[in-house]
Amino acid sequence: MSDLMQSLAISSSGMRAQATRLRHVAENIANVDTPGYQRKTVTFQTERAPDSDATYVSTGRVRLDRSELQLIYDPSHPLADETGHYDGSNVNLTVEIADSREAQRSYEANLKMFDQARKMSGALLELLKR
Amino acid sequence: MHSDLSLFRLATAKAEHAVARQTVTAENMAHADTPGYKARDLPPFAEVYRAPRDDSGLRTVHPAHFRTGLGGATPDARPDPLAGNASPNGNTVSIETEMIRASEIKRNHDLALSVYGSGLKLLRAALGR
Repeated sequence: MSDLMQSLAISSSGMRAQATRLRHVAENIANVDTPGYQRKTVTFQTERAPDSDATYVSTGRVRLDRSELQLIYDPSHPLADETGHYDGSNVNLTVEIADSREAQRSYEANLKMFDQARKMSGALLELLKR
Repeated sequence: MHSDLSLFRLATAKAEHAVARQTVTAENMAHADTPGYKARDLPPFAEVYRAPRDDSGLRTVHPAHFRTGLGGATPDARPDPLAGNASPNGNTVSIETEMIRASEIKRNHDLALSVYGSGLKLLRAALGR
């Protein structure tokens, strides 16, 4: 039974990590038109459980994407320099959408495993009812 | 069956194996996007199961001790033999393979529990209740 609880804990750590990632993707998409915004990237890492040899997943430090900012031509913009350009964000919407799809897919997979572990412990308890 | 209830021990061992495998699969699934993670799996139950022969195994007096034979600690997870090519970040987890494995685990667990349940019914019938 404790093994099943561990399975639940692992699955929920996966869901938490994917949710964090989705949050940062949403942040990036919301700031796609913010001048000078650098997109944030989330890294995943394994984390060993203190009491067993199972590994959880956790999100590491949030890093900024150092790629070049997009140069946008708009002379009427208050931030535009003498050539009429200003720095936009370096968010690529296609990349963000793909990232969010992947996060969603992984989240659902973890949810499925969570549900299965729950059903298995339910079936175990069902034996007591007879 | 009647002298040492080996049926129940067999069913328990199979259910335990399914649960341990569920933990490993959940781990794989959680690490589906972790760079460099290698998918793992447990050996099949038929390979793991060894019928206990009287007292040939090690006796344990503490739960932290190593145990041998049936009911012992689950064998270490090994790298998944079915793992496909690694993605560019070195991860070998395939969500599809894990889903198949998960349904297999569920089936095995249900099977073990049904066998256990039928054993209980049998005993009850023998007792006349």
